Amino acid sequence: MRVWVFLAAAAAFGKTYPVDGIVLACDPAARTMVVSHRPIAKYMPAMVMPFRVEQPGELATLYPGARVQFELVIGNGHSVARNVRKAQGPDAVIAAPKERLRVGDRLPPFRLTDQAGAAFDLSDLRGKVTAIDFIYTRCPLPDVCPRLSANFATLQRRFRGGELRLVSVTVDPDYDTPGVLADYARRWGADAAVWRFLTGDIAPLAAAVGEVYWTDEGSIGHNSTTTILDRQGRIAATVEGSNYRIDQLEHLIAHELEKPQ
Amino acid sequence: MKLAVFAILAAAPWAVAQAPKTADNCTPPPSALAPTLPAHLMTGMGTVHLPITTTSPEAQKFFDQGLAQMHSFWAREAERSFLQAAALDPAAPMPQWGIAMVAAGDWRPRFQIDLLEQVQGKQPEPAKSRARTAAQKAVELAQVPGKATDLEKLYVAAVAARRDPNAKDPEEAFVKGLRTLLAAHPDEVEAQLDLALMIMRGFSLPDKKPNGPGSTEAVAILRGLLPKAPEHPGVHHYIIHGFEGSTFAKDAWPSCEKYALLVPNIPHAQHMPGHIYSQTGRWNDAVKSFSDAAVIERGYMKEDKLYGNGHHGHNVHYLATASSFEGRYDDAIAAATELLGYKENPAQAAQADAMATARAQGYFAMLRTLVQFEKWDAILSADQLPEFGKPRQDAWRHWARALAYANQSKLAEAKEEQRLFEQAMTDFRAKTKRPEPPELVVARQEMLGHIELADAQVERALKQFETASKAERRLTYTEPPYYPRPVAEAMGHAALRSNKPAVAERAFRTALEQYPSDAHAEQGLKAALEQKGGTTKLADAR
Repeated sequence: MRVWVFLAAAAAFGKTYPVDGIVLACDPAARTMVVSHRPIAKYMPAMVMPFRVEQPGELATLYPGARVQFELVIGNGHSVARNVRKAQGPDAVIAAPKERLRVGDRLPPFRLTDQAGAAFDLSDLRGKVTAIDFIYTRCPLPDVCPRLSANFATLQRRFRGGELRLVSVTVDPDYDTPGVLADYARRWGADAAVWRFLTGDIAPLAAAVGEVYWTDEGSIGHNSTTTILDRQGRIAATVEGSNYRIDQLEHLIAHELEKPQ
Repeated sequence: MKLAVFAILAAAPWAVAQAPKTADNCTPPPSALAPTLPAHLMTGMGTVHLPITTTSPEAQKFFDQGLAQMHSFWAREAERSFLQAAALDPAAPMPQWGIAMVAAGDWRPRFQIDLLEQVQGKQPEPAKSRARTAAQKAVELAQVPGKATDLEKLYVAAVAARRDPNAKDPEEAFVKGLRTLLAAHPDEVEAQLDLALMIMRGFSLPDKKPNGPGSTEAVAILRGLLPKAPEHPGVHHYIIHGFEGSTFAKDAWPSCEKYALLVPNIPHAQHMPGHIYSQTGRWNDAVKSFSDAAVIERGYMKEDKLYGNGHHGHNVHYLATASSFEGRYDDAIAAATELLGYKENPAQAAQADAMATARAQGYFAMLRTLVQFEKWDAILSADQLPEFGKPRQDAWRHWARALAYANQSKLAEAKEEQRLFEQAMTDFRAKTKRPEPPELVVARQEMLGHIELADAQVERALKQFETASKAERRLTYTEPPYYPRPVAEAMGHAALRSNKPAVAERAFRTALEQYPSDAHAEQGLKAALEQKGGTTKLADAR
């Protein structure tokens, strides 16, 4: 109780900075979260660092990949994250499918077709850390699918020769045949040993990882989730939307790769 | 995640003493994605022919089809046809000209383009960029010796001027290009049509004066084209838009008939005359227009997963409206029920407020019909008017229920619904961060009138109705109207029940000024005149 009073007092008299970041890990017992944050104006550049939270209950709703905002309160030799909340994007929040799995759950088996026309299933990812995103090749919005694919191209380069695998699943399987996906893969310089593009009956996989998509008025909408799988095929992190810095996704993946096997 | 914005303008207004209308979705929107091939030659598109330089007779056919679809504002299919023509003859400049004309989704009457920019800002970039790329390609292809006639080069130059990203006034640059073309080729029908559409500025409200010299020039061009190209669908379609809102608007009636006959398989060609018929009290003809459009559109929706239901929602909502104003209860309910069967997509469902989804339009159509026919028991049944789950619709539902209870002399229950209405309005402000919708502000005023009447405060009630009616007539004019029925209609019924036939007569006449041949107001006026014991016949009253 004495510590709590001290922290609260320090926070009350400290300097405050707004912070925006992505959670890499949470430790409720230690009342901390590890966050890859954007630059904190007039305080520090973008980096990964642990933050002690003022209200440990706020950690309960967080998970690796969650986008958060909070106030960093700097006291006399102490700092604390206050009012930690999930960041709200510019768009309305799309309701998650009821089949959506949680972080820590094992991904159920799926069988899809890759850009070479070959069957692809979970066994192809065994023992690797994997990032899965959802795109479609006709997407006309530069800040959605092209941005996601550019991010994956960057990941392929940064983690070359390592234990990372990339999977891009189309939400437009009628149009995105293996041939179309192969062209798209070439456009982004995808190395088939690292990065596969999948088509077929994607609905069960999409629902399991919380990807929602729909067709309407000459376009396809989707909520653009990116899921990180650990080496055992369990969901390690999930990120929504495309409005994050690529280094934040890199940190999330590096954090998973650094875990002991 | 970004969502496609597709609201497009409906016809311009004629109603008296009302503000200019806002955006509506009157044609299927342009495709956010480039349409996929193959295109197919379709029947019922209208016959148009503009000879182009091409090595492929098939390319000419698809080009002509695209041109016909363009003249019916069917941007998505027109682009698909032009893309097919381009695929058949990649060296031909005119298919690229076609894509440049339609891909941005702004092949519309000029007054709609002006209003669209006011309401929505600039066009969404992905669609416009396809048009710009095609314009550039058309220019390049037209420079290849032997690949374009002088006339084609002039068409290409005109659209390239419109699509120039550095153009200060793209529409005026286009008009200038068309005038250059017509100086060299004065009898060119296509260019005359294009010019007429791009200079028509509409007519003002309520005095019906031309909004600019272009309005009058467009009418003159179109009147001149009628005898020269009487089978051209674009001539009739543009006459409808060029004449609407003017003192001579009824001169467009023959073109309404002809246009629908010439183009039986494009939704807008069937739908658009319905606007004109509604505005002029020909509700039965409007019902036919909207029904015909609905039939063919359901077919396209079934065939194409990306077709969307936004325009269908608008069309069938208007069908329900026209049926309701015509006094066809079962037809109005059937139309509303169809729309209520559509689900909102996840993005629409996540929005705190939605008016343009097919389901939301169906809900309003249902509410309008039940209120206009004063089906108070149905309104109070959870089956027919269930909770919608969004504050705008919940406010309307409690409003209708308050009216139902008040008209059944259940004052306490009406006041409880009034309280729930206010709760929904608070919810609307909180969830949308927007002020209360003006039509619901008017609804609040009308509701007070019904509650006063249930409390036997007749004079106060009629005064309240009068205030609400004036406010309703100042609302932004929309097609279909986003107020369930004219307040004057409700006031007329209230006055009739209160044995005040003179007040009722005046109210019903006001409603008929707003909505000519409104069956409910006509019946009310007849009853008012009978109650007065007067000798005036209904025919004289119209």
